[in-house]
Amino acid sequence: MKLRRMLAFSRKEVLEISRDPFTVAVAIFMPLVMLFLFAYAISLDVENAPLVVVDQDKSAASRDLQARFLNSGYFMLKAAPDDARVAEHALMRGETRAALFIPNGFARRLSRGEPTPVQLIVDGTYATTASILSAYGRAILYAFPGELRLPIQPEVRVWYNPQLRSRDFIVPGLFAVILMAFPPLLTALAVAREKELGTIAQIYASPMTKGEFIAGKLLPYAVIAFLELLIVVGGGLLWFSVPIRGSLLLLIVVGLLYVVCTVSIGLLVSTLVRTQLAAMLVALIVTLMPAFLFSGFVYPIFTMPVAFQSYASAFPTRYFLEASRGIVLRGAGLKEIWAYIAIIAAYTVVVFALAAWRFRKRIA
Amino acid sequence: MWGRIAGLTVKEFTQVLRDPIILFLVVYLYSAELVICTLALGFDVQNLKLGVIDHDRTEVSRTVIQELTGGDNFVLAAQFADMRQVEDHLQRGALDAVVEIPPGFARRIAAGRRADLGVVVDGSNGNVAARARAYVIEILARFAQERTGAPRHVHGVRPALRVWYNPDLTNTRFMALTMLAEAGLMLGVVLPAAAIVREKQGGTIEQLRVTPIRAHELFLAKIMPTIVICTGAVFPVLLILTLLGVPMRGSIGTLLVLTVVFLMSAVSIGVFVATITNTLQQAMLVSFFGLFPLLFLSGTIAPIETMPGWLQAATQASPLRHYVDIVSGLFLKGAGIGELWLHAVVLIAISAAMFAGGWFLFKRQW
Amino acid sequence: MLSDPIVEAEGLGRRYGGRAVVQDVSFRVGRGEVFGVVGPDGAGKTTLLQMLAAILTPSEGHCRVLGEDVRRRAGLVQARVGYMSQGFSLYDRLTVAENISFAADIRDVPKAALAERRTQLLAMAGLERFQDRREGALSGGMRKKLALCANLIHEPPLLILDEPSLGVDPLSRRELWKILEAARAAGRSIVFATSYMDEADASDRVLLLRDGRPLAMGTPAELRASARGRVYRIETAEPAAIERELASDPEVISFQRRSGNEIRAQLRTARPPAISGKAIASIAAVEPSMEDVFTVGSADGAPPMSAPQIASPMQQMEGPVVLTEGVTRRFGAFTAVDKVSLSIRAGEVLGLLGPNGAGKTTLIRILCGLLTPTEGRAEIAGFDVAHQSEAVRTRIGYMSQKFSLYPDLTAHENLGFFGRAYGVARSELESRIGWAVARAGLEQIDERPVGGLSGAVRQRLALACAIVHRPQVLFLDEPTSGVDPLSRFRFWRLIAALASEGVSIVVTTHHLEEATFCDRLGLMMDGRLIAIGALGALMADLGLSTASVEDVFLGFIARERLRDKST
Repeated sequence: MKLRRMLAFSRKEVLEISRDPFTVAVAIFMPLVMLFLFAYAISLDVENAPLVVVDQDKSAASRDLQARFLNSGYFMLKAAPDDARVAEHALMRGETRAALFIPNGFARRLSRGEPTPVQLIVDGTYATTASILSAYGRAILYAFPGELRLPIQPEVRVWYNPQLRSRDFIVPGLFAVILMAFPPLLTALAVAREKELGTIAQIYASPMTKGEFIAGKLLPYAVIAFLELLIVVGGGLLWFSVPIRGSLLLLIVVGLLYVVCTVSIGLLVSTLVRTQLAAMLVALIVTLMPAFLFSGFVYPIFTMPVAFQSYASAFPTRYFLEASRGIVLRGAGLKEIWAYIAIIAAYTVVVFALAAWRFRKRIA
Repeated sequence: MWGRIAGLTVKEFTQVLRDPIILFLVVYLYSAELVICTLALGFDVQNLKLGVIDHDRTEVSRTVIQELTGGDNFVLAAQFADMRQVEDHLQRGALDAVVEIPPGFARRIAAGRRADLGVVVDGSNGNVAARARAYVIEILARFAQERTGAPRHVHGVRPALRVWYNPDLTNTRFMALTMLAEAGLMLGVVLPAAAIVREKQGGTIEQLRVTPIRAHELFLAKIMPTIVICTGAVFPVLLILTLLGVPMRGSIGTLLVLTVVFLMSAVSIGVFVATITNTLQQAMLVSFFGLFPLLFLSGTIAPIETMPGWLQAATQASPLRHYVDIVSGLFLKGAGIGELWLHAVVLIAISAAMFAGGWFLFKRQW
Repeated sequence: MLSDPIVEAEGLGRRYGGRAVVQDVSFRVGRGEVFGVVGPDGAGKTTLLQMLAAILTPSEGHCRVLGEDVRRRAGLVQARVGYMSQGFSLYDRLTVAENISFAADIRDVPKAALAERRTQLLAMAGLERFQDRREGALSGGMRKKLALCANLIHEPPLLILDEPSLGVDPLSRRELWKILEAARAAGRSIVFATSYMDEADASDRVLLLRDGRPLAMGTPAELRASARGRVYRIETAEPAAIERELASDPEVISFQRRSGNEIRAQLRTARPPAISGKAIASIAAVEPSMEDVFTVGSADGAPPMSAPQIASPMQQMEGPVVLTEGVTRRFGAFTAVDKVSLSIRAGEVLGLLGPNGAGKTTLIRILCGLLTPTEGRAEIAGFDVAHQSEAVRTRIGYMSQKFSLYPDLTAHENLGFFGRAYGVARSELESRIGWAVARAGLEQIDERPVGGLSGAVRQRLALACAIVHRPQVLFLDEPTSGVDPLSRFRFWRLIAALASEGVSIVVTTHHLEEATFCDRLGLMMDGRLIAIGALGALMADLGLSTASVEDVFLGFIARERLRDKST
């Protein structure tokens, strides 16, 4: 392996990239866009869900019950009509997520110790929201009346993310997804472009060896991917103030390994295709989709049918995701995440070996 | 003019039906992807792993544990002696929640005094944490009411909870509908973009400009197959949705009409993409990354009300957002035009504006 | 060791799927030899050269290059040869200097020698002043020369060049060959592929390739000898009449008109053509050119061309069908077309010649209504192209250089589409298609999608699509690029038949000998029309009695350049 040839190849690649506004945009701009988009827009927090209250009793007790709901932080008063049908319409139109019906005679029955029906209707369209709202709604109702305070007082502490800010949960996951979304695509496109333009024939008909080619291509894209890692981690930690409990250094080192893994995947994809279009489609199907949907980023893996869980385990994103969340949120160290690191490393070696094996200095 | 349009339309349909990539995308997005995502991402959070530390070891404490783990929400992962043992498990992610019952718990309850209970929830698991906390609080509240009701308060509030539109609270139905909407958006953008860029790339656009073909004739021909195919796809998809357990409570006619309106906005995006790209590969790349924000900001992953105010306002401009509202209203809620008219009007307005923009851009390049 | 061949190929072949792209090719190339592989597009030249460069694995046969087997020791072969692929094979975003550095680095050129070699090569290519320009910003000729330099930087013993002068203007082509001559003088062997038959004459030995199979091989002299007696030159005062007779003789494969009174004919058998002697000044057998050799070789087994039926001429217009007056087109500060005035009658064939960038394509695009003139006006069949474009478009047909057809539609579907696009009524469509197919000499229409058809068939199909609506004027932009000589000849017969029906035809071409098929020639340079007239008139203008079209072409250009300098 001659360093001169390999470095010349890397240098050429860097020159080409720096003069291609499109690649620069995708490499630097898109990850930032994704970071901002997801961190701002995706919130799994359930708070201030609109609630419509139909109070047909209008007693102190019913107002007290209302207050319980509105002070819980989960509900926000959307409207307080007198007609139940207005509430039903609001539900159907999607203007409110829940409706509370307090019937006439509520206070009377309660003071007499009679069973006091109260109806809570929750819009089930968004299952997550709905199940949480149902649970809290019921809990509030069970706990009412409150003169006798609830004898069993659960003191709930939330570890690792006390305010349950979903952003703090999303951002470390984004690291894993973004680094799987762009570097393989860029790498695969770069090689496919050479094949399409025909410039690759010059490389084939030269002393450059397979190893020099692969290493020469890998180097600049791994560096770019690493830069993306720094940008995304920096953005997430500094701009969004996601507190990092563990070691930043460990995160970056594991990130570096992950980055080599994803770029190698891009190289492997490039050995399978001949056109840029095919490279793009294959790369997106093999990297972005699983990273997004099947890595535990938003949709938890353990709730999937077993077949899909196995499918999810076949991609490295989930392991880096776990490691990243562990380090950032739980302060996990090497001792806790060594298994994930080992899996990612093994994956990298296998993918790299496959890419190297498939790569031929031939047109066909 | 009609002869030219007819010739153009026949050509476009022939080309679409012979393009393996496009055909694959259409079939895949409307079937396999729909089914896979619906089944896999059903999101039914149950059987969370609960660790228990029982310092009390009485019948009461055991009943509490029984209550917590008896239903679907939690399974007992293990019993621990103290908090320190638990820390390691939590950090590794082996437990979702931990309940610590202090010594003297049963005694205090029997005496009618307040008894505290320690609960720890793994907050790093965002999907699960909030639900775990909610489940714990609900179960304990119910238990408290049933168990400790002194004769004075033998009956408290009897909550009757009904979950409308999705009683079993799985994400399946909503997921399937959002997949349908997203497929419509993606194909509505990619198909016309590919059709127009293909002419540019193949050099045939010049050949077309030498013929008497006018811009509006070509424009119509380019978007017609997309609208026909994507609207027609609604029918097989309806079948798939029924098999997946998604009810159709609304009017199919309304669905078709509003789908066409929605597609018009998607098509305009596709035309825009075609005017700024020159090759099929560029077009697909730009489509994909351009659609990304739209796909995720339209209430498909997380409800819109959880977004910051400024972002919520921005989503009003997203045709996908309105289409998702319309579709979930039609299918799940049995809503009709009476309820959905506002969404429909906004969608029509947005689509018309985008369509005009798309036509303007197309004409300029022609 | 001196006699060790540089290249030894035996029974070399390559298949893609079930299709044999190259079959049964055997040859040797010695040290310092220039070996030309000649054939039209689709002949298999690129595939053959890729196998020699060891970047494509042969399906059958053996090959040793520089003593190493291309299958088993591919790496060694790849490292030592210089391979220049077709098209533009360097990095368009890198500068000239960066491209050379890259080539030197990956080919292990010793640093000490690099500077000197680079200076020398760039000087020879005339690129020293452009070292910091991006490769993509150079002209076609310069890019090719640069690619050649990149392949000579490591002083390879063997150069493999795939169509080195494709897309290069005649001047740059000469410069390119000078560099190659220098390389050969330095002892390098050269194997090159070309579809320009005249470049074959520059080789030591030639392999003619057709449809992947070897047609003939030998020195240019040997090949010409094989066609001797089958090529005749006829001098006549009535070339049109003689052409008609030749067209109806089944023994005549093809013929071309040269310099006014001269016709050159190729025959199947070695005897003179049977034509009546009235207007003939002389008939003599002549030394065959490489094109003749190819034509004669490829005609064996090909059916004789049926004489194209000439239908009744269309309603002919009085006066000019195409008329331009002072048409000018500027793009910012650049003047692409400069005050061009010409007129074309019905049934006339006008050939537009000129170097790259002379404005030919821009002029045609103005006439087709694709661009509006900045100044001046143009009319087609009495309609103004700028203001009555719809009327103009139904009366013209256009065939672009790339034969713009829809590759995923069949021939019939393409024709149907263009027919309807031009307003042919549904009821008449089938008959018009039949007519266009017959006119274009498409013997049977293939049902396969067009993308899979050969270049020659697509050429005729593109013509059919351009005439399906019976236009009055036909614009053809380089309609014969990349097609073999016999097909080119046949195509010109079709054009002539159309012209005799009253269609006016404007053609641009790079094949200067084809210009003789035209009634008049228009020479363009720097946007101006520097000469227009029949070939005989142009020759007289330059004071030449016999000349090839190329001489006339270069003569006028030289004269213009002198005029430009003096003003």
